[in-house]
Amino acid sequence: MDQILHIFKKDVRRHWPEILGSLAILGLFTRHELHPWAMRPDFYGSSFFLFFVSGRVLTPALVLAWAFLIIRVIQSEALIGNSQWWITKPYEWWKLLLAKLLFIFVFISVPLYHSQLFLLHKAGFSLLPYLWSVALLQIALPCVLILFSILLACLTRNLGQAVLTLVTLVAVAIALAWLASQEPGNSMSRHSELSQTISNCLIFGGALLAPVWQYARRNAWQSRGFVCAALLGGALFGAFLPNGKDIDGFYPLVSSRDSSVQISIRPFEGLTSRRPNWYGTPVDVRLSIPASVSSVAPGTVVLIDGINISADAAQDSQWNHGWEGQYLRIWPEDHQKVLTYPIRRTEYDKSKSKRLNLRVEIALSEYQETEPRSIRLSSATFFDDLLGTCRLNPLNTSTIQCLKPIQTPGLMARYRAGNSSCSADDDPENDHDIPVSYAWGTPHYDPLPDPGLNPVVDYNLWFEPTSRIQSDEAINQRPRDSAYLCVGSDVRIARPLFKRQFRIRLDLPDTRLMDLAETE
Amino acid sequence: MTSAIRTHALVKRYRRITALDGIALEVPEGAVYALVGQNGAGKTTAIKILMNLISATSGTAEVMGTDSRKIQGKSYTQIGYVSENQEIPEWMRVGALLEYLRPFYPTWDRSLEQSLVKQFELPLDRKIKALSRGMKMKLALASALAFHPRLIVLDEPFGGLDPLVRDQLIEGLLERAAESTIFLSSHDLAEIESFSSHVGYLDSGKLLFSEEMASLATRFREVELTRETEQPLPSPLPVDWLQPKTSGPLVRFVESRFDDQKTPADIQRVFGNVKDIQYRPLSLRAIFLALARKTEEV
Repeated sequence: MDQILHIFKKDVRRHWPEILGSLAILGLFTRHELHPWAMRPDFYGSSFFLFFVSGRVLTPALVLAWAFLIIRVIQSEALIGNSQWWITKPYEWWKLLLAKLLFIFVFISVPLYHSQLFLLHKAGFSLLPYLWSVALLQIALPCVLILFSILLACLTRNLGQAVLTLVTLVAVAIALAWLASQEPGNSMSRHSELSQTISNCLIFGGALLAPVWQYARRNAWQSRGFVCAALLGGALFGAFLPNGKDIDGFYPLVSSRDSSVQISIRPFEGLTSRRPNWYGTPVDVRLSIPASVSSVAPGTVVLIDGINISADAAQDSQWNHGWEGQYLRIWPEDHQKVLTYPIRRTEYDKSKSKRLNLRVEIALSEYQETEPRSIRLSSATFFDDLLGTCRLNPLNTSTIQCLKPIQTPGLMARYRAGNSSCSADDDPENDHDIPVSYAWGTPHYDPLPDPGLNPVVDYNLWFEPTSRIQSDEAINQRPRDSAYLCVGSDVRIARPLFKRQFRIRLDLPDTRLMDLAETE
Repeated sequence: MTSAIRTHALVKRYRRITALDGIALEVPEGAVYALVGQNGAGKTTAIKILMNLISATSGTAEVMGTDSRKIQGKSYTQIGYVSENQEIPEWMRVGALLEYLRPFYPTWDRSLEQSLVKQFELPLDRKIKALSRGMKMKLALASALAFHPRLIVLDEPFGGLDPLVRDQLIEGLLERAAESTIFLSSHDLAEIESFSSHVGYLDSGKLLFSEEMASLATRFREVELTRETEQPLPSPLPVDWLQPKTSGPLVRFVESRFDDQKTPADIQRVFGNVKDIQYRPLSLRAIFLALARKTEEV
């Protein structure tokens, strides 16, 4: 312990400017995060600009300051090379490693923990129930950041080499992301829990072992090999473990009779006007499938998780790239949804005018509301156990802004405009014919906090009106398609309870891809 | 006598370059052993393997009875290592560095530290980065001596230092020689001759010899003989005769296996009767020059 503290004290003497720098940025970050709702209607001009810019700058600056501090403190006893003075002194490697971890704990984890508790306190939440959750928050983003910085520091000779390595890694990541974006579809690949667990264990195990090995042996190539092997192993497990991407296994096929929602493809006329290609890349063409939906039971929501479109003949399905995520919700009052599916432009051009028998598979998840209750919106902020501390968003009348410790809650919220005390005069632009709007928060099944440095999650309950079947002309005449909440509005909120996942199959006979193209 | 350092068939290769070619070295405890050789001979590589700073391609090395691959951490409480290439923490002050090092060594001697500071005239309150090269070497040596190491390993400690600093360093070392084994590498033969008890000669990764200085001084002699008539040198000459030269009736060579009975007999056998023979002892520098030229000829 003496040696650990001795090295620790030396590092403090050496790195006090970096320590002060990172603490100052943490202080500024904390000060900024104290005002999650500072964007008021009167909050414009230079103060708004400064607030906005500092919000964009402070988090990356804090992350960089920590990474810099970690790299500097670890490389003050650099682990690569053989001309370092300390190597031939009686340092015990595990004590040196512990001294560095103690430094990181004292000057990064402890200040961050206190800052997070301070933010919780200032947001009006009691600290005691969240002490452990806030500690868990350290395992999320900061832990990944700290581990990555330690790894970078251990496997590079100096700060310059570390920066160069980081830039190279970022460039590789961008290149991989770009390559992935060139391949439409497969955006809904699901891994089995086993393969995901093994993959995570391998990657994190490698990232943990490599620094320990490097401290114990100072063999950079072996340690780098550990990291590469772990990454490769993790990727291979994800890719090749049986059923690793088997959506069919997660979503068993059910007949129309057993489905919790009735979905049918609507006639295409009048709904297939071309839209700008906002979502896809120039190499994609998005197919658009309008669907009529019905029969969702009250108090239930069915999520469209993804679709897969293929032709019934294998040679005509060359353009199929697997499942595509949709993230649409079908509420009991909904009547229509539009499903989209991207295909590569070159493939599209080859088969767009062919008449094909298409098969559309839709993966769905069903949730049932529990513990429903009604709350009345007030002019001031209000507190709800499920939602947290909330208020009507002064800038957007369709949303309620909420602050909640640690995790965005999973919830179903329903608002019927007819029951509201809001008068049409309050917002003449709004469409008060909209009978029902819903907001959704995806439930969590683990205690892990939302990634981020602030333990107070700032989220919006965005109420979207249910969809009704209308012609394009009618849609264009409507001024704005949004809910309107006001003081005195009654909102029904409930926790969503997962019921099941299932898959249905629909046929689209004698169809040309060009008739489905949303963008060209 | 037990060995402080022992290597067996030590080989180090860097891709196609062989830096050490099967060296077998034995340094007795209490010796002042100088490993000499030209630049690039492999001296620093050998020391780095001994200190477990790099690993050998093959062969074994033991330092104070421990496999050199296991030397780390606590092993260094008994080894004082100084190298001209070491990166000392230059942000520290001299006094702070010594203060920082103290708790690492159970045998750290405060009074010895103070006497070394005084002897080497080290400015305690000055930052290390502001010190001259000589002062840095003196600081490194003071920090390597103050804990009474059993083994002191010095890699080119005198390179580029002025004579005064060299003398101070040597003096400091000699004061410790009684209690420690000293192993140093150098290509500066003049200094090591004055205080080394053993010497090893490394050439292109090969250890040409390793022996006591006294024995080396005894077996090398410059031989100068005068023949009765001027004749060309007979061929072949004994392999132990290095750098044979002739000038008229005068013949000069270095005998590397001098024996007061065998050498005159060999001369008689090769040259027949000669007018005059003189045997002169050689300086270490002259011995190594002769050896170096011999290997160049080969």
